[in-house]
Amino acid sequence: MISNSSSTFPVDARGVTKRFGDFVALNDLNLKVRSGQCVGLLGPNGAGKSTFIGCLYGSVDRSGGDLRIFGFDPARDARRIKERIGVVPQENALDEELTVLENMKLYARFQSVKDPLRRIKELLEHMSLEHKSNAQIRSLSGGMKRRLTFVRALLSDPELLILDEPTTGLDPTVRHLLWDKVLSYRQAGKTVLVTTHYMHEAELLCDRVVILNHGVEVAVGSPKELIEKETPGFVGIFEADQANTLTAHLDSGWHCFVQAKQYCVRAPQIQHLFALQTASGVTAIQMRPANLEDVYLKLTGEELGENE
Amino acid sequence: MRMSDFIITFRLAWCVVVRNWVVYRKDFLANISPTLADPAFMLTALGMGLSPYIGNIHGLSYSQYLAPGMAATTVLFTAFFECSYGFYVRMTFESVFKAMLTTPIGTPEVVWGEFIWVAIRASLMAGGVGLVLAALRILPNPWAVFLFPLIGGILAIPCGAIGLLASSYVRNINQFQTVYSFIIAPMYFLSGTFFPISDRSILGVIVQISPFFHGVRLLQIAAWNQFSLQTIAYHLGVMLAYGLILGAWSFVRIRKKLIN
Repeated sequence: MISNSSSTFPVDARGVTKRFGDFVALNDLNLKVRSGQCVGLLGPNGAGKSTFIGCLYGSVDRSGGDLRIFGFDPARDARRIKERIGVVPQENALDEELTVLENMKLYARFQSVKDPLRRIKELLEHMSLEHKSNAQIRSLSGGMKRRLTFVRALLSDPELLILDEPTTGLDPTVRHLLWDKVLSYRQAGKTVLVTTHYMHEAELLCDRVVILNHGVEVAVGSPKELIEKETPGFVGIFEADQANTLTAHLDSGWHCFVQAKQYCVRAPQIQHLFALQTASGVTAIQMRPANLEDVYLKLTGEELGENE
Repeated sequence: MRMSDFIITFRLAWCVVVRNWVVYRKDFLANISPTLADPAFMLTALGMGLSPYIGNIHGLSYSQYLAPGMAATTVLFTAFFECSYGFYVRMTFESVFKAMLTTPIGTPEVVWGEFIWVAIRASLMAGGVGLVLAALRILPNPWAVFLFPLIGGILAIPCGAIGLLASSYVRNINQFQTVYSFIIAPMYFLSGTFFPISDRSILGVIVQISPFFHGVRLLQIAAWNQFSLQTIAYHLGVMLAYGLILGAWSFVRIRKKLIN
C-alpha cells in the first residue's frame, strides 16, 4: 500500500535488517529521507552502507524490517522504484567494448527515455563530456568514466539519486565538479542519498548523516549537530614527540588522541589552544575547528575491523 | 502476471537482447566464424573424408547422415558457450548486470533476454548451416532448411540453460572446462550425430536423457524426410520439457547470483 507520507519521505526504512548466514550486515536500521534532502550514510568498509543501498532497489533481499521507497516495497515492486531513481554504483560497470554514445543509448532504452539523443547530448555537455561521444569507454580516464556514470544515472531525470561512494579514487578537480553537480540537484529539489568515506564530502553535501558501524546505526543528525554533540571545540595538532611536554599543561576536560603519528588535543575554545602553546612553549602544526572526521573516528573507533 | 506486466517484461528482456547484439556486432566476424567454420571442417573431414570408407547408413551417405547433426552442433555450441563463458564474463568481469539492475530491468528480464538472444542466434545459425548443407546437396529434403531455424531456436533453450546453470555453479572461469568435458562433450559425441546411437541397446536408452539428442533427432527427421507425428511429438515434447525445467532452474540459480 502506498502511504500518504511517501511523497514527503521517498525513503522510509524501519528496522531494516540483512543477514548473510550468521553474519549480520545490517541490523535494525531506521532511516527516513525527506524529499529534497541529501542524506549521507557514513561508516567503515563493511559497515552495511552498500547493503542498505542494494536493499533500496531490490538488488539485495532484506532479511527483515519494513522498507518503502516512494511507498513501494522493493521486495515486490522494484521495477516501479527503479523507474524513479538514478543510481551511481560503486563500480562504474560501463560496457568497455562500446563507445560513450552507444553505452548511453542502451541505458536510455532501458529506462524508456523520451528523445534519448537530445537528453544524452544535454547530459554529456552538463558533465563536460560532449567531445567524448564517440570515444571507446576503455580510452576514458577514471574521472571521465565516473562522470559518465553520473550521466547514466541522470538519463531518466530521477526523483531520487543514489550515490554509492561517488568520488572514491578521483582527483580533487573531478571531485569538486561532482560535488558542484550534486549540490545543484539538491537545489533543483532532488532527493539524494550518498554513501561516502570522505567526511568533508558528507559535511559539504548532506543535510543529515547516519553513521553506521558493524551494521548498526551509531549516530544520526546534521553534521553540525553531530560535531557539537560528539566532538565540540577545536583541535590542536602537535608533533608526537611533544606529547610529554604538553601533558603537564592540559586541562582534565580536554580530549587527547594520537592520529597519523601526531598528538592531537581537542579543547572547548580556540583560546585554550593558544594558551596551551604559550604555557608549554610548543607550537601547534595546525589548529582547526572539530569536524565530522573527528566524530566519525570517535564513534567507529580508529582500529581496523576484521573486514579490513 | 497481468498482460501489461508481461508486455513490459518482454520489452525489457528485448533491451537485454539489443545490448548483446550491439556488443556482438562490434566483433561480428570473429564471433560468427567459429560457429560456421567448425561444422564446415567437420563435414569436410568426417563427411567427405570418411564417406568412401563407411558406405551407407540406413540408406544415406555418411555426409547426408552427418549433415543435420552439424546444424545441431552449431546450436549446442552457440547456446552453451554464450550462456556459460559469455554470460559469466558479463556477470563477473564486466559487471554488466550490476548497472543493468539499477534500471527497470530485473533478473526475470535478464534471464528471458539471455534466452531470447541465444534462441535467435542459434536459430539463425541453424538456418545458415542448413542453407550451406542444402547448397552442398547433402540434405535429402532440402525444404528442411525452413524447419532448421525453428528446431534450432527450441533446442537452444535447454542448451543455453545448461550454460546458465554452469555459470551459477562454477567458482571460476576455468571450471567451465569440467562442465564441457563431462556434460557437453558426452552429450555431443553420444547424440546420434556421428552414428545411429538408437541402434545400440544400452546407449540408445541412456541417450534419451540428453536434451541434445532429441534436437538432433528432430533435425534428422526434417532433413531425411522421415516425418511421423508420434516421433516428432515425443522428441519435441521432451525438448520443450527440458527447456521449461532447466530454464526455470537456471532462473532460480541466476537470481541467487545476481541478488544478494
